[in-house]
Order: sequence, then structure tokens, then C-alpha cells
Amino acid sequence: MTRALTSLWLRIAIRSGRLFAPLLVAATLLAFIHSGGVGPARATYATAAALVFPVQVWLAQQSVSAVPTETRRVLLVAIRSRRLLLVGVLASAVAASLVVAAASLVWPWLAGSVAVTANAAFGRDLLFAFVVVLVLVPPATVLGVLTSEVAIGDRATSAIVGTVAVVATLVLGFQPALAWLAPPLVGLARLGGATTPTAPHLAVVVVHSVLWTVVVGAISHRALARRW
Amino acid sequence: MRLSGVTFRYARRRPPVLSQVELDLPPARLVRVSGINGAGKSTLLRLVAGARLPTSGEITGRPADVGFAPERLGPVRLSTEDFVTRIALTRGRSPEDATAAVEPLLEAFALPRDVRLDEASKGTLQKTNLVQALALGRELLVLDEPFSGLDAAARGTLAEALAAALRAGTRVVVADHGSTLLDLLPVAETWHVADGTVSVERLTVEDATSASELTELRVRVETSKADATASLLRSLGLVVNDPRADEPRA
Repeated sequence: MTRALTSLWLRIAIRSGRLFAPLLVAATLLAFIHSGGVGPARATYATAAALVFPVQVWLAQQSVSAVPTETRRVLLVAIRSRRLLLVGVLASAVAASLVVAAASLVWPWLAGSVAVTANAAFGRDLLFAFVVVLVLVPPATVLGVLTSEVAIGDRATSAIVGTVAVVATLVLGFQPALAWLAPPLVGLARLGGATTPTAPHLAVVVVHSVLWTVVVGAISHRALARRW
Repeated sequence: MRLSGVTFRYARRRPPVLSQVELDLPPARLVRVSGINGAGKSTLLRLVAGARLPTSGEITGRPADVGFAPERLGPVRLSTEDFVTRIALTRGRSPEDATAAVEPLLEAFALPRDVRLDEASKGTLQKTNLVQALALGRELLVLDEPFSGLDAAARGTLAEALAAALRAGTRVVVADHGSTLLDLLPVAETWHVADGTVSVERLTVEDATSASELTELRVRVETSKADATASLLRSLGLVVNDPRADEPRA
């Protein structure tokens, strides 16, 4: 059921053309970031992940809001569960976001902007790249859902609230005492610049991301349940 | 199925659209929902279908297989056939079952299969809306202004589909701004929505003002199905003159 719903939702979202602009911006950003020659893998990936984060929020906003209200009601009655509907909608938003995440991982290789070496350090950097790129997908998705047109009420307010949320993510990220209130965007960017990010450092970031996603996901669920 | 003390408001500080609604909806019952524009008919239908949750009160006994046709289906960039089949798949049906549920309805409504919904005429969009609802609503059908935008042939097809659904025991709730439903089917009950409340009018043939407005039909059914058919006809408000009894029973 959820797979059928996710597939239908994604199909409607893709064909609505709403995902085109964020995907184009993501491609432009990645092309720009990786056009400056060869650099250290960790810093390159961390910068790309941080810059692509707002686009992933935008993508989730568009994906969630792509299905017209009455069609969404028909789907809700068809699937018989608000929770399943939310799971399907989140899954479609994550799927859209994973396209950008995959592009973020592959692009540096295609553009030749990371120095490929056959040593253990490079392997660690590659693992770091995977974590950096994938760990931001869930918080970007729930932030997009929370600030989406469906949850907020109209498109203009959704755009404003989404922009404010991304700016707040950066501002809070730079305040050590308040950084836990925002997704671990700045923390990850800092790890990219660190000489040797250790496993505990990465684990802290992953746990931060998971907890933040759970809390904001629950808030998003309440916001959508009220509107749906 | 029962609505008990159901109240609904769109925002906390706004007055309720519906207040303390008490309704019963037994199987094989056709209900017409009437009321002026903005009275809350569509809201009531969304609550009955489960597309909205009541602010307070509860709705119990809603069957599992519900079909819901809103007043206007949002236009999406999918073909009519693709849309209705995929909606049936979200109910958890296999592709074969989904096709089997949808195919006869596509044929009956003569729905063009490859027209994109964002380019479809009002009639095609409405037929698509009805096909998806009829394919899903085996136990409860909730239709908001279903005759709007339909030509005479499609109205007849819809009336036949509703009559068949009622025979199968489906509860049918239809918002009908005009009197199309009354012209096509015997309506047992009307829910009139006004001023946030819902009043129930049960219509029977005794409401007809003179005998000249009544027509007597003879119905032949298998003996084993006689009682079930008689009770279905009575639930529709018809008088059943059972030859096994001395007097007509309403």
C-alpha cells in the first residue's frame, strides 16, 4: 500500500514539474562547487552537503505539496490511515532528496574534483563523504515537510518560513550552546575542515541528526494531521 | 455506522461548521445530503468518508471499504486509466484486482482512457472521480455533487451503479444541490445541513400527496431472497405488498 502510494505521489510530483527547479539549482550548485579543481575529499564533500541542504529542504517542500488537496483526500480515504499517508509522503520526499544526495556523491568523481589515492586515509574520507551526504537527508526532509505549503497554508508563507528555517539553521549552528536546536549542518561542515574527524565525532553528528529528525518529524506529523 | 456528538471547526477560534451532529447510517441506505452553499455539506461528507477528523465527538463503525468522490478532483498530469488504477492499488489490491475493479466502470462510463486529467473536460474529470470512488467503495460510498458535469447517459450509468451498490448492501451518501438524485432513485433519507446542525428527514411513499403519484411494480425474486429483498425495498422507503401477508407492510 505504502509503496503504491509513494510511487503514485512521486509520479504526480515529477509530472507536476515542481521538482524541476530545485533539481536544476542542485545541479548548478554541484557544478559550481566542483569546478575549482582538485581538493581534499572531506572538505569538498562537506561543503557540497552544506550548500545542497537548503535545496533538499526546498525539494521536500515541493514534493509534499505537489498533490492537489482533493486528490490528497481521495488518497487518504483510499489508504485508510493518516500515518500511512504520512509515511508514503515522507518516503516520496526522501526518494527525491536521495537523487540529490546521489548526485552529490558521484559528481566529484565525474568532475575530477577530489584527489583519488589508494591509501587508507582516502577510504576514511570516502566513508565520511557517505555519512555527510546521507545524514542530512532526513532532517532536510522533515524540515521541508514542516515548512511546506500543506503544513503552513499557502505557497508564499511556506517559501518565507522555509528560508527563515534554513537561515536559522546556520545561525543556530554557529552558537555552540544552541547548535542542538538546528540540524547538524554547521557541525558537519566543521568536521570537513578538521584534520582527522574521529568515529565518535561522526557518531555524535549522526545521533544529533536522528534525534532532530524524530522530534521535528513528530511536530510535522501533528501539523499535517491538523491540516489533513 | 454512527456519528455521535460530532463537532467540526476549521480553526480553534472560528465557530464550528458542524455542531453536535448525531446520525446513523445502516447498510443499504441511500442518503441525500442537502443544504445551501457553505452550509457544511462537503465538510459532513469528508467526516463521513474519513477524509477529515472531527474536532470532538466520534464516528464509529465506519466500514473498511470506503469510496470518496470530492466535488472536484484536483487535476494531475496522469491519464484517467493510470490514475484510477493507481488509486485502487493504494488500497492494497493486486494489479489484477485493481484492473478488475476499474475495468467495468471505465467501460460503463465510456471514460476515455488516455486523456490527461490536467487537460480533461469537466465531464471526464467527474467520471474519473466517480470511477475511482465506485471501484473502492464496496461498503460505503460518499459522493459530493456527483451529477455535476455529467451528461444524461452518464447520469443514468451512475444511477444504475448506485442502485447496484445499494442492492449489495453499500451505504451511499450523496450531496445533491439540485434534485437529480430524487429524480433518478428512491431516496429513503435526507440529511439537511443548516446553521451547523443536521436534521434528518425520512421520506416514504406515504409522503406522496395523492395516489396518482404512485406506480405499482411487480417484482419477482427467488423465494430464498424474498425477505432480504423486501427489507431492502422497505429501507428505500417503498411499500412492499407481500402476497404472503394480508396487508401491505410499509
